[in-house]
Order: sequence, then C-alpha cells, then structure tokens
Amino acid sequence: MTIQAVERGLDFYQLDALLTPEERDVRERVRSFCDEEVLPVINRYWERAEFPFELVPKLAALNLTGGVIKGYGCPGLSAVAVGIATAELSRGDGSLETFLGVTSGLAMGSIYHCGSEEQKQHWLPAMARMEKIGAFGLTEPFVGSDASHIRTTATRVGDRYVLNGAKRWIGNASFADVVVIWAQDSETGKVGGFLVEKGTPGFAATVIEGKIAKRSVLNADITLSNCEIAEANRLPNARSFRDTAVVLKNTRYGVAWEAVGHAMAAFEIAREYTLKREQFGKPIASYQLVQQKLVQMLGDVTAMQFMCWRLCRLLDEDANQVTEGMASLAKQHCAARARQVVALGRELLGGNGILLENHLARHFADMEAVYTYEGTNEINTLVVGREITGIAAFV
Amino acid sequence: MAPVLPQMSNLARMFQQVNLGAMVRTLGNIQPTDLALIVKSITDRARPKKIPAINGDFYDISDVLTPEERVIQQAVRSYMEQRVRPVIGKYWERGEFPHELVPGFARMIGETFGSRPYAIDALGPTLTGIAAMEMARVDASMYTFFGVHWGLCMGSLYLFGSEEQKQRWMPPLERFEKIGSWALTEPDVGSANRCRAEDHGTARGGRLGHQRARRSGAATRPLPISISFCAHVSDHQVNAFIIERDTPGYSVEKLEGKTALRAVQNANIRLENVHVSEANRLPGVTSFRDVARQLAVARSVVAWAMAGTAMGAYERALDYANKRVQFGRRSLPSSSFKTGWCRCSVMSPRCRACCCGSASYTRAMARSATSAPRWPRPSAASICARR
Repeated sequence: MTIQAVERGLDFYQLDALLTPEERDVRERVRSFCDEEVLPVINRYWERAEFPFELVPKLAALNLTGGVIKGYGCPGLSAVAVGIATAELSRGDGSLETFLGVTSGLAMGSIYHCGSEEQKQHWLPAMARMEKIGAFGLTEPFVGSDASHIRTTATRVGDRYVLNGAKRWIGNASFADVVVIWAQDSETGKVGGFLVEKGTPGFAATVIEGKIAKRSVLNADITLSNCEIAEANRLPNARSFRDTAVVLKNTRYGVAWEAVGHAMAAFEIAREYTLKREQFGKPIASYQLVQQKLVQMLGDVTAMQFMCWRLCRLLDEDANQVTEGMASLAKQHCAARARQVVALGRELLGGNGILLENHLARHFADMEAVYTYEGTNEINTLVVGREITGIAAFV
Repeated sequence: MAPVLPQMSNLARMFQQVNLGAMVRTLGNIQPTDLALIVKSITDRARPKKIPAINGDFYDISDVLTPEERVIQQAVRSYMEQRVRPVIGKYWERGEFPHELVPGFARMIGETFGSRPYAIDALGPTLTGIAAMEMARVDASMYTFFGVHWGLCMGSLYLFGSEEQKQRWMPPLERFEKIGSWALTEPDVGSANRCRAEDHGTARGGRLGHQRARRSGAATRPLPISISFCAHVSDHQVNAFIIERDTPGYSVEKLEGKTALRAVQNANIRLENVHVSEANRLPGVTSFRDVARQLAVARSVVAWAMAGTAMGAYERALDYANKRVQFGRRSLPSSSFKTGWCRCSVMSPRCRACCCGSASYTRAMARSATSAPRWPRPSAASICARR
C-alpha cells in the first residue's frame, strides 16, 4: 500500500474498484460531511452527552435517509451504498450514525415493511427529508435478548388501541415525532407494531443518563400508561415477531458496517499518530511492537470490509438469499474484531488515547455499544449456531 | 408415599393457552430423553437453588494475610463499599474529584496504615498491594488518587528526601492536609523518560524551565505540593524538586475530555523560570536510575490495583447475571446460556492469576527488603494489564 492509499481512507485491497459510481459518490459525500461538519464539533457534544441538533439539516441534505427504500421520496440506494455510508458516518461519529440508523433503518424500515400504503405516504417522505424523526421501541427494561417475549400490551377498545408497558434504551424517543412501539396484542398474544405520535397522552420518555458509549445519541426510558392510539396507527403487516425480525435482519448489516467504520477510524488515527510521535529519538512507528499492532488492525479491517461488502451485494442481488445467520455472522464477527481493533488503536496512542481531542477515545468507547446492541454478541452467535447445526441453543 | 396432586389452577391455565390437538400430536413424538429433560427442567425450577455468595477471591489469596491484616483489608473494603461506591459514579461522569471524601478517606488510611511516623511503609508490600486492590475493586480513580499522593509523592520523599524534608512534609501528607502530586511525564516524553525540563543550578538553588504534562493530583484542591523531576543542565542527569503550588512561574491547567479515570484530575503543568531553593531538591535522586527504582515499587502496587479492578468487574458481572432474567431464566446457574457462563468462568481464573502474579512479586520484594528484584517487575504488571 502506498501511504496515499491510506490517506484517502483505509482501502488496502481496493474495495473502491468494486463499488458503483453511485456508491463512491455516497462515500465522498459522507466523508466530507464528517471531516468538515462533524469532527470539529462532536467531542464537546459527546462529553456533555448532548445530541448535536445543529447537524440534522446538514445530515438530511446528504440524501441518505430512507436508505434502500424506493419511492416515497427515499433515495433507493443499494445496500452496499447504505453500508458504505454507515461506515463513513461511524468513521466520523458513532452517535450520529446511530441517530440516522434508528430513524432511517429501524423506524422507516418498520413502516416500509409493515405499514399500510397510507402510513407509508404519510410518514416516509417527511422522514426522508428529516422533517420528521422516528424511533423504534422494542427493548424493554426486563426484555432484551428475549425480544419475542415483550410484555408491553396493546388492547383493542372499539376503533382504538390502548398501550400499556415500558420500553428501555429507545434511541431518539425523547424528541421523535413518531415511535414504532412493538407490543403484544392482548387478544391474539402476537407481537404487533403501533405508531405512537409525539405528544400522545400516556406516552412519556425520559433520557437515560450516565452512558459511557455513544454519549451524544439520546436513549430513553419510555412508559406507556393507557396510551390510546387510533386503529389507523397499527402497522397492518406486523402480524407476529417474525415480521419484526425481518426489519431487524435488514438493519443488522448496517451495524456490521458501523463496526467497520469505527475500526477504520482507529487504524487511520493510530497510524498517523505513530508516525508523528517520537520516543527514544525516532517515530514509534519504527518499533516492531508498534508495527505488529498496526498490521493486526489492518488485517482485521480489510477482512471486515470485504465480508460486509459481500453480504450487501447478496442483499442487492436478491434479499431472499440472505439468511438470518448470514446477517448475524457479519454483525457478530465485525463487532468482535472491531472492538479489538479500537482497543489496539487506543493502546498505540498511550495516554493520548484516553483524551477525546484525539478522537480515538470516542471510537473506543462507542464500540462497546456497537458490540452489544442490535443483538448481543451471544445472541447473534446462537442465531448463526442454530442455522449451521439445526439446533436452537438459546435456552 | 402419598400421591402428589398437581395444582389444578395451573393445569386449568395451561389448557386455556394450549392447542390440545397439537399438544397431543407433539406428545406422541416425544423421546424418553426429551421427557427426562423436560421433567428435570420443571423440577429444577420448582426447587430454586440458592445463589452462592459472590467472591472475587476464589482461591483465597487473602490467606497470605494474618488475622490482624485481614481486619485492615476489611476496613478498606467497607470504607470503599459504604462511602465511595454510592457517590463515585456521578463524579466520574462529570469528570470531578470527590473532595467531600478526602477527610473520611484520610481517617480510614490513618486507621489502617497507622499514624506512626512515615506510615507509608507500615503495612509492607503485600498488605499495601491488597489495600490497593480493595480500593480499585470499587473505584480505580480513588485508587489512583491514593497511589499518586501516597506511593509516588510521599514515596519519593521517603526514598530520596533528606531527614529535614521528611520531617517537614511527611506528617501533613500522611494526614492528607496537603495533597501530593508527582511530575515526570512531559508532552513529548512519555515512554522515553528523558526529561526536557531543565534545571540551571545557581548558588541560590535551581531555576526550572519548560513544561510537563499529565500529572494526577496536580489539580486537586487542598494545598498540593508537587515532586517534579527535571534534567540537570550540567550533566543531563535527572533531579527531583519539591514545588509548592503557589510558587511563581508554576502553573497548572486541568486536562479536559478524558474517557478513563475521569474522577482523577490530571493536569498540564507549566514551569517558567521557577526558582526552587536548594533545600527543596531531593538529595537522593542523582540519575534516572533512582526514578526507575521507585517506579519498580509503584508498578507492583499498580499490578495489585488491576487485580482489584478485574475482581470488581467479575463480581459486578456475576451479580448482574444472577439477577437478570431472560428467556425465563437467570443467565448463569442453569446449564444454558453457555456464552455468559463461560465468560464468567474465564474471568474468575484471570482474577486469580492477577492476584497470584502480584502476590508472588510483592513477596519477592518483601524478601529482598529494600529494593525490588529486577526480574518480575515487568511481568507482574504486564500479566495483569493483558487480562
């Protein structure tokens, strides 16, 4: 690799050549946005645990929101383009990426996959322009990995539904215009999806404080106490947890790319630092122990990039050929490797690796959230395990 | 034996939820092994097992302590649990030092390390290490505050100071009326400890120039003094100086935006023509070799502290896994949830390995009485860090 190839962004095996012009264009747009708009301001938001609302209009202008969705004012990107954009945004800042992933992938994805034509027409164009922001409420205080057994209930009363229960860790929920709430239908016992709009009586969201990862995305505790919504706000095509799982399958590859982005950033920052930092009279990059760490990081990042690229090409060719196990393997593997890559990078920066001003500390901390959310490492492992052995080993 | 009657209400509820036809068809296919497993799973649940007590010291490394020393260990542990654990999270997040804790912390140290002159060495290396482990088990920032003040600053005075310097500085430091800091690292000098700060010796004493960085304790409130290491201009050897906070030319600026040990206040120190009297030079430091000797002692304590951090993490993780119910079960004690169980079982021997590594090192130190043996120094610290 020439040094130049790294400076354009880490691409050791020329992944670039496998991208379409549209995909390259997306990458350049997101990269400039991160370099010019995000990096100068993000550390202060992160430390104060505040969301950078000032960046939302500029993020909207990138025309990524809605991702692969075609029509309804959405960009209709390839899965590869969405993946590349995700990695680039994480390479800038993971909190901002999660904000986008929640509204675009999870909330819009739920409405797109499970909503009626009217619901899609009503919500998707405004959400694609980020005039409306979405959230996705599945996890509960006592239900994380065991997601199919949520306890929030939806009871039909005439032409309305009454929601009761609690949700936890819900990104964007404290300010979102619409929250997709997943709840058990009291009549059928099946999981269904319900659109709860901002300001609905009985809906309350409190921001969770004291996070040490993704500090500038706002996660909330939600309580639903006799929260009434119209029948028209039920997602008609969410008939059981299997439909929720479809939405999750289609966002899981994004989380794998997110890990790629954090790992790329860690490698690039660490490489630059070790070339500049001198100890014992020469750059630390000239020491064998340092080179060994850099090479290990590079190997992991390169393997992750191609794994994710291939998964997304399969999705683009025919989404049905991608199994749950294939989506889970990428998330499980990349998150685990990236967690090591950011740790090595942090190590190479020494004490400077725990200071926000050098950016690596933020990637290091944020990877902890990526490692655990959207299916813990353990659950994704067992999803793949079930697929390759035929034996479900969850309990 | 009287027949055991099934709970009729449970059976009635079950039949409301069950598709009887499907259930009968399933029962027709059941294998004897499946049946045994189902029965075992139901009886296990009916007789919940008691959760064993959580113990991060699985192989009882504290056994190396005498009963009196165990009392000291318990005193440190209960102080950390009762006073530090409830409040430290908030300080950590805000990046503030818990000044409110200092008087109580000082009392606890007085009661454990004792108040006889130069209490710094009163406990011996093993018990000092175990005390550090107990502090870090609850909060590594609090341990670092202690380590910098006690081990590094007071340690320098103890090892390198003149009798007058010890008499003047050690008592208020032992009572935490003055807080100590210790400055070696510089902005461009970390691993390669060749100080760039210079001391231009004159008849009156020394004049220090240049800047240095990253000193914990330097920005804490109650009257800090700083032991500053500088290169002597005449022969480029490292020297050490005591600098009081209000010395002209000495300025401190808190280092913002850390993501680790946030409750510890690290600072950038700037030294601009700081005049220090000859009486404030530590006569025992004549080269970097002296600093290295002190670092060897300090590192063994840091190794213990890492064992404590790992112990704390293991105990918190086990407690969480014992309480958190998913898929209708606690994560750990059942034979399922193998990944979580396996993590915890991996953590436990690693904690033990850290303790043992540290223990054998500090015992070797105790044997060699005055100076740390050379061979195990990097290994104890690096074994713990890796794990």
